[in-house]
Amino acid sequence: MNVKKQISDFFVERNVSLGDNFVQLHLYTHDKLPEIDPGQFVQIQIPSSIHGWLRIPISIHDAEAEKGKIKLLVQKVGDGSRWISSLHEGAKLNMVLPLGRGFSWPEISLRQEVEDPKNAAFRALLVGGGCGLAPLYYLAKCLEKEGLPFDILVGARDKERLVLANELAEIGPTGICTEDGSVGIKGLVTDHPLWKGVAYTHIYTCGPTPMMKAVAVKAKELKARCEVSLENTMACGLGACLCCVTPDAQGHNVCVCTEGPVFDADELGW
Amino acid sequence: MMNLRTNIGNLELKNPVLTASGTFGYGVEFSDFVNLDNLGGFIVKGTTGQPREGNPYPRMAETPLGMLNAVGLQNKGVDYFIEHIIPQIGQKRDRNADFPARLMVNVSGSTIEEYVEVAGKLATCEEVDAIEVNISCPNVKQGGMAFGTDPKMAAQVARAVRDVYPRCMIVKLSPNVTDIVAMALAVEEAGADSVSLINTLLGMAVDVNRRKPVLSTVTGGLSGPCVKPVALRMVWQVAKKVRIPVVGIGGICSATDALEFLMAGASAVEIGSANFVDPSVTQKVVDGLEAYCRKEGISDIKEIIGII
Ligand SMILES: Cc1cc2nc3c(=O)[nH]c(=O)nc-3n(C[C@H](O)[C@H](O)[C@H](O)COP(=O)(O)OP(=O)(O)OC[C@H]3O[C@@H](n4cnc5c(N)ncnc54)[C@H](O)[C@@H]3O)c2cc1C
Ligand SMILES: Cc1cc2nc3c(=O)[nH]c(=O)nc-3n(C[C@H](O)[C@H](O)[C@H](O)COP(=O)(O)O)c2cc1C
Ligand code: FES
Repeated sequence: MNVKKQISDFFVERNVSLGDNFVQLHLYTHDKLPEIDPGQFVQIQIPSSIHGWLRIPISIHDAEAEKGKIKLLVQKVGDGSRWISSLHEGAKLNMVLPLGRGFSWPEISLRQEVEDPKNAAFRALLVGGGCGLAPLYYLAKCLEKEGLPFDILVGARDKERLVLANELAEIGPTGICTEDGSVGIKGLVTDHPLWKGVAYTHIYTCGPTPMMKAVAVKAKELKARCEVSLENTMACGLGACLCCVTPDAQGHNVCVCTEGPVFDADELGW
Repeated sequence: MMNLRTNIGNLELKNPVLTASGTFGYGVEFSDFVNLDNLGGFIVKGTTGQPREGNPYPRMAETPLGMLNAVGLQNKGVDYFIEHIIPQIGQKRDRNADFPARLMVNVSGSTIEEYVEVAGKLATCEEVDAIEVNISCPNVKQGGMAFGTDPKMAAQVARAVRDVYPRCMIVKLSPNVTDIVAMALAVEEAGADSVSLINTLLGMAVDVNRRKPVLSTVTGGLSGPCVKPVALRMVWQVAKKVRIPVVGIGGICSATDALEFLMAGASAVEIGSANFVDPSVTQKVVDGLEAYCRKEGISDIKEIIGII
């Protein structure tokens, strides 16, 4: 916690196209990087134009801090994200990082009980869609490293819009839902049979807001702890401008960029 | 030896670079990127008598080379500021600085009584070197019309605050008026030590996909590079007419931008939205001013203030 934030130049090592709408950027820096938590994000500077001027917040999709490497998953939605997606090997990207509070998991004392799958003190389900899967990928890698058990559930409208499912399947058991049934189970992520088979204790979700809300309701029914990651529009990303707020359970406005973007679903007023 | 020192009334600044209220938090948010005590001063968030939650989200819309905001003065109130936030700011200060940055507080209210309450409490705080009275707030007793759009109301606020606040009092002017010079003259007459301008310009953005305004409040305040020419024109007009020092604000992103304001008559400048794009911009502007003076053989920055 309270790691020093820095402004660093990164360079594109590889730009991997994932379908028509996403790219995965592999980046490195010569600067020393602090430890990065899954769920934290960066603020990327874009060239000033009449379309955009402010930095763009993007989740950290993977990190090897000791090697100065991170990955980002970028969806092409507007001019800024299209510019980032078009960068070639060697291109420079200026970023402020690491920002925000990421996902959390229990301390070691709880973890020792994970051997018994029926009565596990920790068993997680990671549920996401679209670029919301970016931070969940890094979370999955961290949980795997910690030896904590988890399953993954990926949702998409159809086969064309499905992203990152293969990459996730390499880290952990991954279920897929599409609304039109073109791949995986037909329906929404909350309809997937995974929910019935396993007693999850922790649910982590990032994706479209209606999906996260539905997942949070489901988690409550299961009495599982639920962490959601919000994507409110931001200006500073540093807790200074108060543009990014969301109401908490008491109705007070809190900054998504510093108190979040990851929140305990029960702490939120939505 | 180059001299970047400048004055706002009786208050001397080590250099003309300040931060604009609402864009630099309490300074502590930026302490990883700038040594706060390298700045002339920093002006912290708008502070009111009681805690305020501000406006509902969405509060921000990006616009061509600028942004609209409708934060609505979210803050924890003056008592909390004095008790909890001033000590936090103290921890991020550079104790070895031979000339520390000035801590200034932006004061807001819905009634004259509220301005007086906040200013009176801040007068008892030694750590606070100056206040900046934000008169762009709606006056709830006058149907929500901003104090800063009527010279008489503006002067009333300034005079009432003057009575309770003995140190440096800057009055921050709204650009949403027909004659900003009349506003400046009115608050000068009422006892202000300085005027700062401009606050944000009233604007609006529409989301055509949702067929709705982007901001929850429909309208909001425009800031950023797009407002700079308007701000510069107003600073020049005001500086020609008032005797008190003028602080220039609006779209400043570089030392060159700051120099434009100084030459147009500003004794100091505030950097606002540019902090969001480059959290270390304030330090770069200080360095840039120094480099300019060295290159041009200027020994005292005051030589160029108001040369236009
Ligand atoms: C903490 C955080 C993490 C994020 N992580 C990622 C990520 O890993 N990958 C990724 O691709 N994107 C991510 N985003 C979203 C990303 O920041 C926006 O897509 C981006 O700012 C769009 O910029 P643009 O210039 O391309 O589009 P713009 O021209 O700014 O916008 C294009 C369209 O997208 C909408 N839009 C823009 N920003 C948002 C937003 N935050 N939420 C909803 N709609 C929006 C606009 O209303 C507009 O209709 C994240 C956002 C946040 C706050
Ligand atoms: C997010 C945001 C919050 C602001 N809050 C305040 C405030 O509380 N009080 C105030 O007097 N001005 C406030 N302002 C106005 C700025 O201090 C400044 O006058 C304006 O943004 C113009 O400068 P700029 O173009 O450099 O940003 C705010 C501006 C922004 C962008
Ligand atoms: S984006 Fe500025 S406070 Fe969160």
